[in-house]
Amino acid sequence: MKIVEITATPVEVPRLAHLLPKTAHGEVSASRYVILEIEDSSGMVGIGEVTCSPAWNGEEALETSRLVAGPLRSELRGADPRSWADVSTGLDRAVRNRPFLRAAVEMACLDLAARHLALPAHALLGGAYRTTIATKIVLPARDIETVRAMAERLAGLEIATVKVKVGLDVDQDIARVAAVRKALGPEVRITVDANEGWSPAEARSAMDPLRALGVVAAEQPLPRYDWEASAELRRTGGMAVMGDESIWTREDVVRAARTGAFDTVSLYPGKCGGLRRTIALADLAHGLGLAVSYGSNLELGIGAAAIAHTVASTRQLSPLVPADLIGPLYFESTMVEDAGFVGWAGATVPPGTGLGVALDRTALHRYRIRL
Amino acid sequence: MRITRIRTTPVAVPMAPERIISGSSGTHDRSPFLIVEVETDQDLVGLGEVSCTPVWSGEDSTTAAHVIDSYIGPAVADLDPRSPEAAWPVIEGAIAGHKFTKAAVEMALWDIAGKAVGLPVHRLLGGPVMTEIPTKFSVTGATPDHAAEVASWAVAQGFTAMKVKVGRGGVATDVARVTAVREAIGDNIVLGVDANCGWDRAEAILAGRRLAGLGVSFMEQPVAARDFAGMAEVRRRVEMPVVADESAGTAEDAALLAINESCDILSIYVGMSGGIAPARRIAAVATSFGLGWTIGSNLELGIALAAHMHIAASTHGLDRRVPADILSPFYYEGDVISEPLDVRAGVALPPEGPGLGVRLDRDALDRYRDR
Repeated sequence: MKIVEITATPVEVPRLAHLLPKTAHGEVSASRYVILEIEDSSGMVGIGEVTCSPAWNGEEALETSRLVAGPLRSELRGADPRSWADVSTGLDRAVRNRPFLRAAVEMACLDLAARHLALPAHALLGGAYRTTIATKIVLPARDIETVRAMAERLAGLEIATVKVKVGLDVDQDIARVAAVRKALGPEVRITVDANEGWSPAEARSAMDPLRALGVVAAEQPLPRYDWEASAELRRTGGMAVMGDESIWTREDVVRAARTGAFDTVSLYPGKCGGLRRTIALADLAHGLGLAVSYGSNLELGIGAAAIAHTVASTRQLSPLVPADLIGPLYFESTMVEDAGFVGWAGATVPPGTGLGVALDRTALHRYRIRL
Repeated sequence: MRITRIRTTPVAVPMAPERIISGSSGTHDRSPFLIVEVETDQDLVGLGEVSCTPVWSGEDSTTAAHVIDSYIGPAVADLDPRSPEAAWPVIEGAIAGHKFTKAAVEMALWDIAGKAVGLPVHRLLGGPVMTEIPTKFSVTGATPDHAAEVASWAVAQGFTAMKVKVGRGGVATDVARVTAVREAIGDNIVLGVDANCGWDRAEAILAGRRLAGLGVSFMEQPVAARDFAGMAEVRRRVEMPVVADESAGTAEDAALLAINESCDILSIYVGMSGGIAPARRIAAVATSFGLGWTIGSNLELGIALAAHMHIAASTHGLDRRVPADILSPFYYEGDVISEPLDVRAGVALPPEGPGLGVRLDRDALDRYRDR
């Protein structure tokens, strides 16, 4: 079995206006991603998603499409899509330092390989430890009234955990969390994510008031390089401290454990350069005594399915910080025919073979970026 | 003065086949670079060069042209090009990553700033701190016979220092290659090795022990880029200075390398760090921790090579134990600049013309255009 064709389609999908994300890194109203299709010599097509974000990971939809059409296509044609050894060797010869693209190639090949065997993708990742996945809904770092209205809309959806974006102004951050607590009641678990936005002094001053509001975890409170200040905050802050922007590679996971900067690490296939790499990182983190949570770059249906299979095959998950497996809820279209596996109250692993999602060709046509 | 337009031209200058370099991260037999012309509302044009390959940072001429057209160009439009430091946050904030692309625009602004006052960049920056930059040659990680032949050729050109690519095919193969080179060049030539992340700790330590007997006097990037602890262990256990190259992309990385005692010398590039000023910031961090620095190479053409020479000539602390990799003219059949730089075997003299001190050869640009 050989790869005979690999195509990249850049798409631009609007985010739902009433849920527009905003973080300490900024805001976007539409996402430009790349849908990858890999066709093998049997005529079957596997699908992947490059969850691009120029401002966050530097991978951008149009240049990614060109890299696929150029060096990647010439290296991957002829490789056996069922052999990750074969494909990843070609991939590394073509292009490096593009973790979200690497992950998309892996998800498409995994989709193909699993569908040939009539198995779900997680069966090729070692099997499923679970098929239902606890998630948290993310609320943006917007003004109090907007966020209060968003939170009130979530009431009654059986949401167990919400993550509130902070990191812009400590007083506003605390007031925003207080408004969310008031809207959703005492039972909802709340975490915050500062996306590197606080200084050490700001983070210190935020901890007591946030803890009083029942916040149980702070994600990336400090700039990614400030391992020592993060370790200090973790010792004194009284809540879990999770690394996201700081954690990309094995070495980062080891450093988190050695410095004590984080007790929990946020992983996901795009950031970590693939599904298998993510699971290996999760095992490493667990072995070093760190808890593992799953983050997100707001994936569409294919990327979300890849996260679901990865979570399914990850042995240990943080009981405190559920996964950000929510991307499809935030878009006008998910680009797949059925994204019902992601709901407001939690997610499941999509049933069926391969990744378990089918490309919505009407949507692909509608949202493709025309050059 | 303001920036009006940025023109880009993809080029691929053929390389001398007998000197093509293979290292542990692949073979550099093609340079899909991008020449950048920053135009102003006055009669001044700044030159820049994206000297990158997709397997190094994920950038090539295609991605770079797109990123300049869609992100960096719009961001810097109307800025005063004579203030590269003021423009830096704008360039850096336009998109994540893409350091080699950012560097091309940044160096073009220095070119304009120098031309505007009639000074070479190294004098604009307060130099020269040296007028003759010591340089070395780089020998491919090929068979012992071929490596020895290339090394002898370099000695015949007049080089008195060189490094051999290792981390390819196991320590025994590496030692055989270095042995053949040492026999070919004699004992009076300074000889180092560059593993390009290709060893693990044990291999690096073993190799260090064996290579010391061959009079090898430095070891570059023995282990993985992010393995600062592993590099520190190697450094403690080998009897030669360790040079960090792939590890040293930012000033923050430089500080972490220093704090972890991972290296003795940092290798800096205009491209990897994102520009002339960011590269000098890395050098400043190195110097402040008592470490040395040297200039690395991704086989730049004349424009980026001139930028490297201005960095070297304007910045204190270039470590004479590891001469600079200002060597690329020895690998190409031609260049895109009209008068050759004064790059000799073993020494390079910084350009004295205004700005970067190079002029574009339009015929050559057309001849080497990558179609």
